[in-house]
Amino acid sequence: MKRRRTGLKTVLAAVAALSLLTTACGGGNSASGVPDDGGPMPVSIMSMYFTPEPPGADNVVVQEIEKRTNTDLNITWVSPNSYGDKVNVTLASGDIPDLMLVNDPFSAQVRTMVQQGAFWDLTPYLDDYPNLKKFPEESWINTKQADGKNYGIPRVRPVEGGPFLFLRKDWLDNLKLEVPKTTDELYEVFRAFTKDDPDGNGQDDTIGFTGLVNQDNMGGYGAIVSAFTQTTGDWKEVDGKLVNVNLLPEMREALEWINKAYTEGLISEDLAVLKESQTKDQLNAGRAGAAVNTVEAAWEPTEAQLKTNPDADFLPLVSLNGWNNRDGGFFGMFVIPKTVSEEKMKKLLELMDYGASEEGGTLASYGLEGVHYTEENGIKMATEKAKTDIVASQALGQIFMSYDKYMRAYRSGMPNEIFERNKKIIDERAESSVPDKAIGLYSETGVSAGPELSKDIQDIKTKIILGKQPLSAWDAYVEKLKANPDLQKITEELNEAYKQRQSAS
Amino acid sequence: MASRSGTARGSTLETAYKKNPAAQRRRSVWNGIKRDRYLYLLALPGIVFFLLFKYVPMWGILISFQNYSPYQGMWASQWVGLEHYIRFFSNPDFLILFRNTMAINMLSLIFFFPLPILLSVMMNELRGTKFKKTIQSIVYLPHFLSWVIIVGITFLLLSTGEGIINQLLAAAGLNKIDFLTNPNYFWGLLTVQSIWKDAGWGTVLFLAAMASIDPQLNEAAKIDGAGRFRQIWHITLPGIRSVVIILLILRIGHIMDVGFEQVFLMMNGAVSEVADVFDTYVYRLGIKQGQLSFSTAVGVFKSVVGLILVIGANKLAKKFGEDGVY
Repeated sequence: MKRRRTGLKTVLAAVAALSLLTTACGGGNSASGVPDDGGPMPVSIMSMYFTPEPPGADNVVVQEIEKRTNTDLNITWVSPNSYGDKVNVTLASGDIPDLMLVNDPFSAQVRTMVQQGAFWDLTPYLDDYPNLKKFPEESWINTKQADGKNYGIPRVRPVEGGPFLFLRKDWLDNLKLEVPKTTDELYEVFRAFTKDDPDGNGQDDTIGFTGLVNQDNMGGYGAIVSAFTQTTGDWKEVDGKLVNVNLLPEMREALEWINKAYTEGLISEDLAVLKESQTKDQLNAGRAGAAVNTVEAAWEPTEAQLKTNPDADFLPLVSLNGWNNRDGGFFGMFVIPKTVSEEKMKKLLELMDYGASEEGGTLASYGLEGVHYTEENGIKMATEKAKTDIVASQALGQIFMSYDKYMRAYRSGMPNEIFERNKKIIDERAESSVPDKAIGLYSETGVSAGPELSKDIQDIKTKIILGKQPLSAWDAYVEKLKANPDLQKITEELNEAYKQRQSAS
Repeated sequence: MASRSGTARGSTLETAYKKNPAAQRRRSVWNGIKRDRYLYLLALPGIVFFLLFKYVPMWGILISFQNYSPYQGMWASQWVGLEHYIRFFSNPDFLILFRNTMAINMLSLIFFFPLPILLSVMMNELRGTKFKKTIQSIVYLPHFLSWVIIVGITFLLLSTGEGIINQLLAAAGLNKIDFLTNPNYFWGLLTVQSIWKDAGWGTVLFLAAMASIDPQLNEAAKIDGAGRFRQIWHITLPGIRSVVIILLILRIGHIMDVGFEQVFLMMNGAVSEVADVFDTYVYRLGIKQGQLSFSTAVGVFKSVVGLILVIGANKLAKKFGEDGVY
């Protein structure tokens, strides 16, 4: 342990030394951090990227944005795999970039630092920025901290079109099956996908569903569980009170369903040790018939399959048992530390406002027209140059994005009819989607004891799915859970916060 | 005249030193430093390294006695005394973590530790230099693979769905074995992985120690009619005994450490009750959940236990007439 802790310190020391160096280099600046001479304003940003490689400092689009906004961007790109760790370490170092994406606005660390006044309260300033104002109301409400104020700019996401089931439509057609609407029908579809040779190659080489469970949540199986519990997230409103879903009998039904599917071999055999990339491989290779992801992400395996199979088609489902999830409208938020002057903070909001404009958003996600993309009937086709220059919504588009309700219907290179179909699915989902009632609600015990409790609960769920323990073990566990003082306290605190929020609105 | 007064002053100083043994000692230390100044200069970077990166950060353990908040800094954070330690020891997780850490390390001590000795004795008996070098290179090689790769290979071999071994089992009509998700196999799996990775590398020190054994001893033994096994038993093994003892003491000092990466990568929901060790716990609570003070307390506990064990083992070694670490 001693060795690892010093390792951390070394990193921190290096970071501190580096930042000293960079501040020393930024001569000609006034104390406010905004150059007096009208030169470009230096801005440090930390964010994540989903492209194979992060964009470099000499990235054409970064340079173009710098030119148009008169800034000098210094972006630290962090892999999403370790982003949460990096946030905690950076916050602990006290050397926080001007704009930092915190992936979980409600983590213990962020909450405490908000209370201590480490970040700018942006609430009074936001009215001056028309493009940021265009973000949906829910994105702003759901990122409010315990005191009801906004301490960050949400990394905006549409509320509809979030991670949900998608499955092979062409396999359904081959097997003459309807699109499933209930979990019972879904089970039949998974069974047929596994046993009835849906790809017609005469070999037993397919499974119904590929997905993994994480160590603290149900991962890809969350959507199926939620179809049973009929709620989004871990809390359900029952008679006006929030109840933890694990205590509900529906959770038992869900576990029974998944365990049965596992025993029959309809879902990933290695679900406890699988990696995200392996599930994608299975979909791309046509070995799995369904998975969970956002609406537009279903295009990814379709595109891969089309190379060998012209009929391949992954269809995102609208709902299951009449349920689908309504997202919070954000995926983390950008905070500005109090060490930044008010003048510079306003300039930073201006920069983010530019990013949220149509022009800025398009530039960040798609690059320059004619160079990085061509446009036909409103569909942008990325060129090869876009790939080599690393211009994508998965990189710079994670920082600067203009809000669009159909953001999750679209991927560059997608045929128009898929785009239109996705738009329709998103509209249909809006009719049945259920929001997470507990989002942003504050419970002190939840922050300190919650993560370990979630892990403990997930451990036993994983064992039950794998058949290592019988369902009766779950019943016994639930009885124990009901008496768990931490859970009781979390429930109490959340309900109090919930009541407060309801009476406020 | 000038020179005489100089000598006179010198002699007075000398008598002063004679009267003051502390000052004398100081002078001899200073003389020693002056004499070996180049050696000390050579050691300087190392000394600075240890001060800067090992001793200065040790102040960090103070945060285990407070509710440390990075924004407020170490001086403004609230002091809570032993609260975090009490919380840790009264936590039911503590016993599980302790059991897992000890079990994994004891297995490693029993099965892993003797292997490099055995291996190096065997290699020492090889006669062809080229053959010996080749074997050495081959057994060192796995050490240079990172745990990520080794765990990746393990998954490729042992996973139930696509693992090669399970596919072979299935093809032979046998039942698949859940190597990766069965708590009964987990500790064994870790030990086997460690042996595969580091048993070869562990031979380096032993081989070096064997090289320093006087070959005359072997020759004399041979003349007296001792066979190979006699020579190993009476010459080679006693020759490396002190190295073995030192390594054993150091190893015991690390009894609370389990290779973090290995366990972290191998862990999954089905085995976490046997897989969770102090290091993964500290990572989860400290880095992931930001409970810096609490996880520091856990770290301090580990270090203190390690220190006590090293001192104990060293004392024990000295009692049996060995050199020990210091």
